[in-house]
Amino acid sequence: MDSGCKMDFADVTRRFAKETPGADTVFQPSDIGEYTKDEWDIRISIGDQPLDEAFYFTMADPGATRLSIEELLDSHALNPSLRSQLDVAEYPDLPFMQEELIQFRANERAGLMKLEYFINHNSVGGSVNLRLRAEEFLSVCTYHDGSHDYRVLDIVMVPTTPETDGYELERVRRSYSEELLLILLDYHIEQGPEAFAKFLKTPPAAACLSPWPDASLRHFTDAMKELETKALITRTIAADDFGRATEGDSTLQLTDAGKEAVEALKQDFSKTADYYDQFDSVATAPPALGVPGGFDARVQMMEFDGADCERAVLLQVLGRNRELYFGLDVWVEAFNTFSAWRIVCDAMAYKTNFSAEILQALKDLAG
Amino acid sequence: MAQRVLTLTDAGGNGDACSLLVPEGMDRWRLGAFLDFLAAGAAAPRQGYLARAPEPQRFESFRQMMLFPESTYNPPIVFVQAGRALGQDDFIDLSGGLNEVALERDDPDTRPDCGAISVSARNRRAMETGGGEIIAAIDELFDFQAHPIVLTDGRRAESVGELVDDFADALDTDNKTRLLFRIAQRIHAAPFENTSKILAGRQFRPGHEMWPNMQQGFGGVCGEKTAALQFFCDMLSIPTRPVLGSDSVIGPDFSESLRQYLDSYGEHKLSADIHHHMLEVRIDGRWHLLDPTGGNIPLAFLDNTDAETLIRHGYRARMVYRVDRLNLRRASTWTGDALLTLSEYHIPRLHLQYVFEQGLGLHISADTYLGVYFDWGGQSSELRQNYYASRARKVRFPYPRFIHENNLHSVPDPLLRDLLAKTLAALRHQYDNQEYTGGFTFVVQPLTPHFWTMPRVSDSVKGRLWR
Repeated sequence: MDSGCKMDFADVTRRFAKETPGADTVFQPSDIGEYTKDEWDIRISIGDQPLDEAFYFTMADPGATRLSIEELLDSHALNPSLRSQLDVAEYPDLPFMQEELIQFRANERAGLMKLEYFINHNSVGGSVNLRLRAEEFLSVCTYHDGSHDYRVLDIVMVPTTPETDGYELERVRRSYSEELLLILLDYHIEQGPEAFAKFLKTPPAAACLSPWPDASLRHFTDAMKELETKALITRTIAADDFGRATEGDSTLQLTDAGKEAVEALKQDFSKTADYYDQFDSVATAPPALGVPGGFDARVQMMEFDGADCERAVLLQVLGRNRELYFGLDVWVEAFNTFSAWRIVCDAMAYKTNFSAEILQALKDLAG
Repeated sequence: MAQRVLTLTDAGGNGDACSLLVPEGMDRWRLGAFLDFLAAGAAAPRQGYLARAPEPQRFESFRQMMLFPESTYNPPIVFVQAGRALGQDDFIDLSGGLNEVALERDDPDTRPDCGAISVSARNRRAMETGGGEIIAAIDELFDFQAHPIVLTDGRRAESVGELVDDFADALDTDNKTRLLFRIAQRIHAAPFENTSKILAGRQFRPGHEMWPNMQQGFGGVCGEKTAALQFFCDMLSIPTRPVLGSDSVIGPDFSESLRQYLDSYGEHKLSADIHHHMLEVRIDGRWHLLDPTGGNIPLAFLDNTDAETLIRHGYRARMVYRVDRLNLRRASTWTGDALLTLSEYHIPRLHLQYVFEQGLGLHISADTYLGVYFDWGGQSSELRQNYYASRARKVRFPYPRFIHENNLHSVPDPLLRDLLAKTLAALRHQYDNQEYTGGFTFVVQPLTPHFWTMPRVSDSVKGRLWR
């Protein structure tokens, strides 16, 4: 998520699009072949740090782009014995930045922190595998004044946000498992009977239909029991006289109350999106809606209206990314880690903080 | 014992004030006796004087201005009460609960000798008068238990006081380096802030006043922190020289332009604006550049080779939303002293300039910036909120929060709420335009941890620190 800008609930793949002042950076441009005989840079910035504060190391060997990113980091850019090659005349702090980056990597190896690596302007997004060759991830940086243009491996190193810790995860599960499970079931039911049957065979779902559920899947099975207690689902677990599961006869389905609950969630999702998306790009001086490059005031507006922001944002994230969180191959991990919660936390952390007067003026414009 | 207050206000200078407490039965004080009291310094209690300063280090600045005005770039001080200049045989009236004496200048048109400016001389005098309090503050901040300093005779130092008379021979090079590194660390760790000056109505704290201030958990801006380091070095007779920073080039004529600026009482323009003030320190013949500023600027402790690189090629200093690229220049001791003296004694409302005009705000730490702006409502509020929100977005910070009188109650932490309320009251009181009808709004800007933070320490220095 590009923090501080519009938070696109529909695009959860992290990506960076940082620009150097006075220059344009294009990822894998069509003319990159023209630079194959030139020096090139490895640039490393931390998180959302501006590029004009980034560390860089110039590679004299044009062919070294065939090396893996990892080797380029450890044997070249972050190799302390090559410190004398740093461009201190332009940026005297480079040796100290190198030292700090080396410390980051050392801490990562020692298990003291987690790092993710991204490529700036990478259209695909998501973190990059360091074992891949650098040449697949090069950009060309061109200065507007024509002074420089060169290839750059534009790495963004991100200390990852801590996994939702134990207590918080428990709280979030207790609060929102029902919503998540109802949307999950509805998603797979919509795929058709065959697909739903396949879903029911995935281990946690199958455990719900077993007379002797696996204790390690307790989070899921307990949550499903809760739905059953509320008469939102029914389960039929077929077992023989010896308590062994008999295949083919176990079923799970939404009750009428369950279907109404799902419909209510869908209505919530639509109403929230319809109304609050008006505030996804606002100006404040003077107040205006739908401006290019405006502030994303959706979360603060929900708060202003007294809405349950956490729940509203979670439903938006889940609703706009159903395949990502509920697909057959991914739903188990997504449920166990409640991975959607990271997006909710980011949204809350980066919400706007405008005055009540400004928010009211924006609401008046929305009608 | 009930007491009365004598307030001394530097009416002829920067408007600062300090207080003395005198016993209830003391209705008057002959000026000549008052001056003797000042001259007695640390010996005053032993000589029977009953007056005492509730803030001894703050009072020390005034004492030196009154007794040694030339070292503070002042002509002789004239004591004025109720509009009347007092002679040596006249009496200061202490009959009221609060009694004020204004400190004016003998002849405002007389230019003092700027060559007499000396921070080292003032530091030495401050040590003579109040060294005990300062040493206690340094010792507590240093923590000799956790950071051993071994003397050449094999003992461990327990107080910086043991080193005052014999620093050069008492420690080897490694231990001198460790001592100074730890001191620089402590100064760096003190908050980069102006809040305590606003609350105290104080324009600028000299080095000797910074140490008790830091002991209480407060801090200062770059010049004050450098002054604290310089005081420490002067206390131990460690040679220092200033290094100045500016976003323009500081030419070799800067010192001369500063003299002309002083001689013209500010009419002559300085050849460069100074935005940063660091110190080089000599340890056993080798110079080291130290930057203990703090805020968003990493600690720097550099050997001469690394320092030369910075001085030749420029120094980047982050200030919340931006990075300033500064040109550095070594300056003469006199130049550094003159700048510190101007800050301490001669610029009215300097603390407000730091906060507003220089944009340093109230407090900068690694994770938060607390600023403040004039806010008279309506579109001005929108524009300022938009300004800060845009700056935050540009550098990918979370959106700032805006706190003013009407939503102060929403601040969850009671200590912070109380601090902001007091700061608001102090700003209203100290802002000198009495016709201002607007208010002030605080900006609370969370900072993301996407800066370079590791201290910049030269390899040769690291080799001498604790293993």
